[in-house]
Amino acid sequence: MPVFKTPFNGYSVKFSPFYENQLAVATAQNFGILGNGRVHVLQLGPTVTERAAFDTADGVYDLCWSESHDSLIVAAIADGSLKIYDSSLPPAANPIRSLHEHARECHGVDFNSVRKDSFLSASWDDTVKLWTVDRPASVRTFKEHAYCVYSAAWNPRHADVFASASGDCTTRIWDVREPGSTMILPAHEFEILSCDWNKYDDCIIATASVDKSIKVWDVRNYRIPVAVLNGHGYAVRKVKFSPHRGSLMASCSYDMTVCLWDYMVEDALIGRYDHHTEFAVGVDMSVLVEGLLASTGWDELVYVWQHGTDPRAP
Amino acid sequence: MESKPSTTPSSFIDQQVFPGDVVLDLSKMANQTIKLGGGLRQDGDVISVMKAGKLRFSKPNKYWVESSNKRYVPSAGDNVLGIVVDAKADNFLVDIKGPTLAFLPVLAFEGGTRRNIPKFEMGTLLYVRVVKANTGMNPELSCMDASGKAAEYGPLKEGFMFESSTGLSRTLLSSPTCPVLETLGKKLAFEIAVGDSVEEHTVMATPSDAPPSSTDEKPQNPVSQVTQPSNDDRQDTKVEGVKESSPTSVFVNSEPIREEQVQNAVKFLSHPKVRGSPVMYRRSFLERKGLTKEEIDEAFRRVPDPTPAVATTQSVVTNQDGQIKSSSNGQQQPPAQVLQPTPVGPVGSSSKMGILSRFHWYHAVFAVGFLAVSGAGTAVLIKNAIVPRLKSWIRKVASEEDEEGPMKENNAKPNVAEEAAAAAKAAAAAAADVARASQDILITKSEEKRYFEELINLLNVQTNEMKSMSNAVQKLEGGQSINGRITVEEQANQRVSRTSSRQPYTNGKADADSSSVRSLSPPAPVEPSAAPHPKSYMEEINDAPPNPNQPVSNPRLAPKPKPWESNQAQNSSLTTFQSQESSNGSNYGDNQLNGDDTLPWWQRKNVRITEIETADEQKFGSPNLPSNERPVQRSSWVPPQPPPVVMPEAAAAIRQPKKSSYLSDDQLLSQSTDVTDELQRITKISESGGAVDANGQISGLQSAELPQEENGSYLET
Repeated sequence: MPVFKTPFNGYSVKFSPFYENQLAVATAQNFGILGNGRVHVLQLGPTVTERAAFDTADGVYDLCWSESHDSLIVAAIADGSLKIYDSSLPPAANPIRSLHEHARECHGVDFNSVRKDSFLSASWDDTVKLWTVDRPASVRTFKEHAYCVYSAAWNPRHADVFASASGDCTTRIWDVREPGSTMILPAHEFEILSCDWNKYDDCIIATASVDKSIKVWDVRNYRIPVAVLNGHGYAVRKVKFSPHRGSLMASCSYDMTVCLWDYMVEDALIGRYDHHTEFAVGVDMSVLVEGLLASTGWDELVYVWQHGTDPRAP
Repeated sequence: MESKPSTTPSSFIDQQVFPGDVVLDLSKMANQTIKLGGGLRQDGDVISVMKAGKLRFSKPNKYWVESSNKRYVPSAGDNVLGIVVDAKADNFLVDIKGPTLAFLPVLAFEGGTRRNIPKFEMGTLLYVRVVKANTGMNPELSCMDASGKAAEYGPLKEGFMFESSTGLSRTLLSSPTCPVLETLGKKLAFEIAVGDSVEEHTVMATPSDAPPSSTDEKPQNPVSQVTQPSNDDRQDTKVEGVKESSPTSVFVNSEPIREEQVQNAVKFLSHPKVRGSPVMYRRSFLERKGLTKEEIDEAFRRVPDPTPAVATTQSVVTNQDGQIKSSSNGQQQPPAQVLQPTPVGPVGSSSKMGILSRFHWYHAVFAVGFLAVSGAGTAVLIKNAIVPRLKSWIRKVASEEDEEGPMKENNAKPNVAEEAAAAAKAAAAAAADVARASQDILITKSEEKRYFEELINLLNVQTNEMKSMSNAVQKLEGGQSINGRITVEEQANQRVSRTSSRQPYTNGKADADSSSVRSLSPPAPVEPSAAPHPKSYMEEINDAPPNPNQPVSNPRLAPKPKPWESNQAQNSSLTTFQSQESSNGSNYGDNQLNGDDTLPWWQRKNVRITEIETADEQKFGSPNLPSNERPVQRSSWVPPQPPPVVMPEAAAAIRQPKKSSYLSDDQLLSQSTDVTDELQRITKISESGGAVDANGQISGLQSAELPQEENGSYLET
């Protein structure tokens, strides 16, 4: 499987929802602490090639593809801004928007896949903001978390429902139509770094935490987790439900591995890939090609591989 | 005073000394260590004085000279006030009115990590501690006390800052409380932060909420009585509000309030230590413990909130014991922390620190909530109680006037006439003033116009000069284009000039009079919010949008349905696969014809399952269904495809520790191959059965094969 080497430390990778052979990678210099960043748009062919790259003055922590426009990418930048790139335009004409409202680093973005017109940004200034592509300012600010918000994820079925994962050890469920959060999930004893919704059951949510575990919750009965998935050796950085199978999840962790889980079965860990030689911080599953995985990490490498094969195989 | 040398500097102690005076003779001292503070220096065997002032001594062995300076010489351990001048990646630059700017490391805060670096606007006033003060180095500050706690250090909000000489600060900090402060404290409530002792400068006084009325005998804060009921009111409304909004979806919590959780929360909230912490933290803590909003609200309602910090910390003047005068509130706050300046150099006396008032957002919330709720009640009250009284009072007054009327009229009339005359005079005078002023304005306007024209001329001249200069530069450089470095330098220059214009007081205040006063309330928002990184050692990249208003181009593709969406609609796995295939076809139509071998690598499945993959895949899903689907989902979702099977060896390897107890490797492998055969058999049968009634046939078969099936999928996934 071809590998792509990025100049900076990888932070996030996302498959395009339009082209099965495109993916975008967010990278940041100096492990994201200080320095420039770059957004890569990669093309899968016989090898992985770079279609376009956009430089930023600060590290890029996350990105997402637009669900309505095949070439738009929203990037979350370490200076608190969100930048929208059009991968069909040359770097000189990019970014096409820069939205600067967050007071601190922006750590997560997610595009609404139901309504397809809006996206969320989660920031270390303890807020989540709702944006649309055509507006210069945010539509709403959700400020309830008591500490950094690390990620926000739209519900795949309900256009107005989303979840946010925060360092205040809670996950909150929000409905855009409501003034405040509709549910507070004290999911872990430690900071929660990521959350994602089950694509086939709109009430199931997974949270990944610094306590090395992933927990799966049913929002209808959130006192006890549906499943607790242990197996990572360090904080779990990102968790992602499969677009093709309801119970399948991928996760990546600071223990440098990418793991696949089926939370329905007793022995939940169904695959472990230890191809990264540094913290694995980004993982994604292709919506268009079943079983296709991509991961990136601080070893500056982007791997794309089919589930069940060795990512490092030539 | 045993350590005193035989030359008896006691004669000098607390006396004025002058440069050149010899205060100690080391040659006559037995094996002793003495510490010298500012203004003294060792000159061979003697200690001589370098600056005029009072010689001070503190047990056991410290000597220093005190004098009143306008400039502060940093010394480790001093508590000082400083103004944030700039923010770098690792340090804030703080002006402590010393010879150089001081560094405040961004991590030198309680619990400071990379992630919660505080953001200070330029110009924020900080109360900090000097931790390092070496010659030739910028002094280093910290916002923590020696044990790593925030103590009282941190930004000071509101109030006023005065610069003072070091002598004055010392007087204000001196241990019998300065009589001025004491007297002032009797009249009004205030808080004062005096930067240190040895050589320090600034005073911050916050007139707190109590109006400084001289008639008010007690410096008590009336706000405290008002806020108490307001809390309860606020909670009531909140609970009501929640009740009114009916839960709209499953995402709204609709569980009843759990009594035991509320009890726990009440216990937590009524803990004296907890009471002092901000509401937000308490809330966040309870949320983390799994309480719902309603439960938290209920708990807050049961525990009357202590009056907010502004109200309770009305410490007028803390006297030297650190006790709060006049804190007659029900809940006694833990006594205000007395900040002990830890003088490495001088000062043994010292140390008294006011508490800084902090106005929190929730005070406002309380107030607003109280107003809103009490609005209706007040209206009723006014209508029922006050209005009748007012009416009766007016009636009474009117009747009195009627009685007195005849008598008063005689006296009143001349008065009225006189007043009218006076008013007319005043009006005339005012009119004259206005006329004069308008004339002045006209004159100044014409003058302004003249000046403006002159200015424009000057500007023109300057632009010409600039042009000629740039020409000259170009000539000098010959054909060379201006490289990037110059632009960077230019930017640096610009930055410097910007900071200097932003901070006029950093450069220009050296000779500013010490009585200058600056209001701190809005700490001058400078730039919206720049990241605290300097860009110095990074590549300069301009990532601003070249054309922020450029319209977004039209997408070339329509959004594709998500696999889970199409499944929901069609309730069949066939559609996904077909749509996926069609999409493949559009992109890679030619590849598709030749079969698997020409598929791009990322679409190829694991080699081991290719034989069953292409043909049988669609039907393969349904027998697999019971094993990985939960009953809840059955109505809405049928899994689209079988799991992309992992290498059996890999699966076996993962599972080995658990399975090895009852399955050997060989057994495992043979069984899994059995399963594959079995699956193929089923799918072939289903194929031969035709697509239309395939389901029925499969379901019949499925019941027979189910146990094996489940076993197989369990092993294989």
